[in-house]
Amino acid sequence: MIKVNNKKAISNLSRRSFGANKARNYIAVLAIVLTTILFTSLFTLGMGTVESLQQATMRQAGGDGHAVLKYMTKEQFDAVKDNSRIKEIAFDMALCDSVENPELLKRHAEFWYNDEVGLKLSYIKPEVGRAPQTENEIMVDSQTLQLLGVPQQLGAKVSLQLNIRGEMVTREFTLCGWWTSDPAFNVGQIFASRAYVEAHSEELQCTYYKDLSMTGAINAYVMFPNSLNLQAKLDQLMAESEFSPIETDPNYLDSNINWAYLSTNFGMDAGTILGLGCGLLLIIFTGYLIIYNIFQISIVRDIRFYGLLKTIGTTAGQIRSMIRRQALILSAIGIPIGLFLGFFSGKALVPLLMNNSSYAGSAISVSPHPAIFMGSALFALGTVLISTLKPGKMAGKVSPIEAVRYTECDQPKQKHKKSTNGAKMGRIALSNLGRNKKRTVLVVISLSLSLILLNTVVTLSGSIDMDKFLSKFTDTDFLIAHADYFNNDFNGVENETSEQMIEAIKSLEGFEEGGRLYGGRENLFFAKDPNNSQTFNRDESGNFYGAVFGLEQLPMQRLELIDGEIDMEKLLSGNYILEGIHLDDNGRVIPETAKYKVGDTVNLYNWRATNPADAENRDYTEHKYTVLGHVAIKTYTNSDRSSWDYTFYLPASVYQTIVDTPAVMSYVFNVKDNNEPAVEAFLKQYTTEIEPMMNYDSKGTTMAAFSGMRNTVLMVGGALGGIIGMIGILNFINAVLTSIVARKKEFAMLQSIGMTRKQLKKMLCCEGLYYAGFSALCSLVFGWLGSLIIVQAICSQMWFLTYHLVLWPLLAAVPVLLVLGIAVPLVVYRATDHQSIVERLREAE
Amino acid sequence: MNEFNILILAIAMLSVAFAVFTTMRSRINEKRVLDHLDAMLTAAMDGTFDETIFDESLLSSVETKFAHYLSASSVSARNLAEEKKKIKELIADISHQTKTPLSNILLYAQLLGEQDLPQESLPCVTALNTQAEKLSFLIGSLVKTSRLETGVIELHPKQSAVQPMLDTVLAQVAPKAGEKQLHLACNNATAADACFDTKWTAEAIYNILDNAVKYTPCGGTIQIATTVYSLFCRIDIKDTGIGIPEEEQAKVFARFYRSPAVSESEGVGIGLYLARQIIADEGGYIKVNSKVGGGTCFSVFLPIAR
Amino acid sequence: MNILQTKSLKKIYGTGETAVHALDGVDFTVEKGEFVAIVGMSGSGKSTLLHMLGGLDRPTEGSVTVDGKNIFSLKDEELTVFRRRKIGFVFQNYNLVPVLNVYENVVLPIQLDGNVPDDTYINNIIATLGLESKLQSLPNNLSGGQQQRVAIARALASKPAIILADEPTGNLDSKTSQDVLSLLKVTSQKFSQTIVMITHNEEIAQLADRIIRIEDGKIVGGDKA
Repeated sequence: MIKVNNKKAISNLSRRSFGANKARNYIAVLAIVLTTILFTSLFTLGMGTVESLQQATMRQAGGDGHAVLKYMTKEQFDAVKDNSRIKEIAFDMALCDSVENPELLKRHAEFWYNDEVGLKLSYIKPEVGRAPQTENEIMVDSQTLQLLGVPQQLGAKVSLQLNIRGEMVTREFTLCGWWTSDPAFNVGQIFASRAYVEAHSEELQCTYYKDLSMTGAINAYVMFPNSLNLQAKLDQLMAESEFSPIETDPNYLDSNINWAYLSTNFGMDAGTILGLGCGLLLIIFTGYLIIYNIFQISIVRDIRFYGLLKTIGTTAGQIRSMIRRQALILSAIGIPIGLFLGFFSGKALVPLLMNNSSYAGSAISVSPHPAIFMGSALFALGTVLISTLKPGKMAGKVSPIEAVRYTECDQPKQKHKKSTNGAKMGRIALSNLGRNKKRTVLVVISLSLSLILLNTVVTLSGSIDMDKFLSKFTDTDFLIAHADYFNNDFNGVENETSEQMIEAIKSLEGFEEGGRLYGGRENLFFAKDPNNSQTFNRDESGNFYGAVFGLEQLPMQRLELIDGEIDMEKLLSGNYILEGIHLDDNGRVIPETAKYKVGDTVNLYNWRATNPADAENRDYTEHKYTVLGHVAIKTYTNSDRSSWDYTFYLPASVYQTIVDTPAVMSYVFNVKDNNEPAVEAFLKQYTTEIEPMMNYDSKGTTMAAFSGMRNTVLMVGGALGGIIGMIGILNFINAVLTSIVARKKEFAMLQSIGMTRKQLKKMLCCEGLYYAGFSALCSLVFGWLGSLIIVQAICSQMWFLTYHLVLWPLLAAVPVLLVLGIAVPLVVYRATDHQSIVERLREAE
Repeated sequence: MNEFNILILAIAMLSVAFAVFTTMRSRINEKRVLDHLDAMLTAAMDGTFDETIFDESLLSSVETKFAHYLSASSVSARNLAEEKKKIKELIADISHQTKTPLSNILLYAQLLGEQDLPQESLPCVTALNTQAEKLSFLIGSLVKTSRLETGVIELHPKQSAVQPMLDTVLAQVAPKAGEKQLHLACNNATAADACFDTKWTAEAIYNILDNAVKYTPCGGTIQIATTVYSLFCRIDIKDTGIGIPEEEQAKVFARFYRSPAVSESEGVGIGLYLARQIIADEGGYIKVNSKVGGGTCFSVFLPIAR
Repeated sequence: MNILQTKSLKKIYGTGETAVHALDGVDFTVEKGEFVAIVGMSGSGKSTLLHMLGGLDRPTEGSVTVDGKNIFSLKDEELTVFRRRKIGFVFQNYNLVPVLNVYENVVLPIQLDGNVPDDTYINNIIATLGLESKLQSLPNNLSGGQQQRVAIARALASKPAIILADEPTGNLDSKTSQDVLSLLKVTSQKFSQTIVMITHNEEIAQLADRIIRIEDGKIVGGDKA
């Protein structure tokens, strides 16, 4: 239906009546700003986290290309580079098989030539100096420079030992630029110039597909016009350039799409989405509470006005649209401010979150993505409109007769003759609250909500269980091992734990006890298991890959027995063995990872030299054991940090007899409590200066991570609770303000019949106290219930949480509430109480 | 498969776009039609309606029908107005044509009275005179009324003092009042100005006063009082006469209305009608407040400013 | 021609024993151009009657026909639109929109209907009511009499079928009352408006062409024509 055009009248009316409601507008704008801040922070937090995670992942994946064609020759590269499907293509050439400088043992470095596109896609940009140009110029990341012992100085000499097809070559270079290492990228990077590539073109002929030598291999990172359907695009590109993805074909070329792009909502797992959803709902609800309340109150106050509009023929629809318009004007002011402030607060919070994720140390990137602003603005606007829906409906339903007869607080219900002493004031105040139950309930809810939230946050942070956390990461005070071990790359003798360091530690003051763990991929075992039909991870004899660890006394004692027994005598006899069982994140046993029952016989095999002098000639040797019991595999303390299908534990002495080259995987030890800091300092110094390839883990470092996490929960939750608390207080102020303004005439009347100002104030304070009291009661009850039901549920989901009932924040907030309950009405009353009784009596007409 | 998806998507998008476009277009069309109808009606109300579309469209045919309807109704309205005008002209003609014979009758009746006539003829002459005068008054009033109604007479309200006008009227009515020994009192001379046409307002007030004199028994009082409000000047003419019953109060202003209670006394029932016409035309009004036996108060409200 | 007609109009508040018959079968008609006063003591049901006539409240029984339309056959929303097109109100407490100036108040009902105010007509009304110099003032800055004149102007502006005035001078002193009433009368004469006015004051009622008296929800005396 085509409507008559009466927008002008409505817009004029809403604009004017908007101007007449200044106090409400301020509070409403503030409320909208706060709501928008909450939304924007949440979105910025969400987007920023996802973005940072994605970038971190991309860097780990080695660049921002949509796909990569690997180990190409120059000719192959030329065949691809002009394909029209490609938007950008990077020419990245490996210049050696590996950099063999001993200083780079702990943190490998790679030696590449990247063209401009390649540098861009790998986020490499020299912070000081420039990209290399001449043959002997290189640029290096800062950490590699530090390891190499080269000063951060342009023109410094760098000597690199390069492994070129197995041949060791030492070349001298000049430093022409460097950049700060990306902590997410655990490999050093050295880049040479195009001139270098041209000068050594003979040795840089890619032969990867013949001898697996990286030297001269070109990786082409490819950007397509968009990131949709990458696999199909890559397949087409491969086909058009006549490469085959099948390994046995002569024209085989390795390629893959960037796994960072594999899923577009990367990092948005169910938990994150749930969290975000809950956050959104909570914000919508708090925003709704206050905005709804503000409008509801202002409409009740203006009820005569709406009645009057009704009598002269304003339809309900027109009144609704008036209120919607006012809400829109308020939003137009409040939302941009909120967006602005919210973006920065969100930006400030992202690093906090990131620091405590597994991506700690990654560069944080929060860009002002339009989606953040659009989303927040949309949600904020939505909240405002939802909140004004009901008040609008109410205003529209006002009967025109209201205009003729209605005044909100016309008949005060209390008996005035009773108002002679303070105690009775309380009763009047209570019945005053009862006059507008809805408003009272709203104020109480919004005040309680913030308290409950605060309590939840404190409960959560208090529930982070130090012991659980520590027991997952550490069994003992310290653990030392080769740096490779911590990078999940422990192999065997080549990177075993230094005996020199163990001796040094044993001689430390306060040293109590210590023990070695033996293991390593070098000493691979194979387990016979007729019950397992799995086809992979089997050797030629059909036995399964497995790991056997040899434990000295201390780590042996620390094993967590699940069933069976740990009888040292039996174990030392060499006929018994302990089987490891995996645990899930919450420390619960995953029973199906136990392949044998206690008492079963296990046949293990490994390769042993036929005679000790001849390491090349090896036999497939069988060992028979009976399973004595099952123990928990703890990834961070008693495994090589890889997950094996078959894991067994033996005493170190037995282990040493069944392998040719027992390798010390790690060494764990305890020290006296008061020596911990000294030992920690010693280890730190030792691993950086004396044996840089060694590294350590300690309760101290774990505890730092732990408290960081707790701080994050407190910080983020506290900020949220703070804002919601502010909204609650705002709501309270608004309720008190309007109730005082609306009852101006009534107060004047009360005063005219002899109520003193003091008594009046007493009455108002009583009302405030009731609000505070109800809120305290409500938040205690619901905080307690919520804590029991919700927080406990969360705690049981997260492995590092142990639920404790915490109520002290609520109790601590009670006095604050009471003070507010007294102060707010007093301040507000003082602000409105300027005129004489007569003036007020007259004005209210 | 991929192309197929894109195709489906494209078709879906196109149909959505088409649907949106069609809806929009039909809305715009509908609005155009309604706007046009609105404009037609506005023009018709102003009397400036003209057909603008002449084509095969329904709208055009609606316009034509509407024009037919308008012209038909305007013809009938014009006929009505013409008839009314003719009646008024007739009255005017009659009254005008009767004027001369009437004056002659009056003249000859007076002449007759001056002659020596037998005693028994005297009452006849007197009656002849009275009736002739009555007829003359009636005709005079009719002429004035019809002129006022047909707009021949135009009132020219001007800002002028109220008191002088009242004085004139009082002087006019004084002899008649004297005859009935009525006490004619003008309470407080007013200095107020009001906006009125002196001659015709005097006529109106004279008519009211004349009535008061007529229906107030001998020895009664007629009071004239003036009150000034911020927008109106009120002239009360209060008598101690027989009063008007409430149900007749609205009717006394009707043309030729004569209260059954006074059917005996002379009068044609046109004076008050004329008075109300004059005052209303000047932007004022007359209010009556009366009780049977308790006298009557006519209040004339004259606007103070235009 | 009847512009307003009520038929056995009844309004009962409450039920059973405590039921109050505010209106108990009211029948009357008002002709086009008439100025009718409804007079009654307070509590006689006259305000209830006016609310019914204006469609502000629904009767328990009976009907009100305005300009040939039974107004209670309309839905609430339709009734509101009907009201703004056919009925003008003048209230005891003026009921002007406090945030709009005089001119905006006067043309509001027209604009609400999506029409462009007919300026010649509006100016005529405003001149008649002597409000020319106050057009830009806000109602709060006007005296009671002036506010009521604005209310009259607003009631006239949309050329309604009937104007309902509820104690239009209830809040005014007697002198101002006289002016306001005079204006109401003069404008109704001038613009041929039908007016139904409620008052408890006989003196004021004298102004009307016809007086309807109401007592205990019933019409007494007066003619029912």
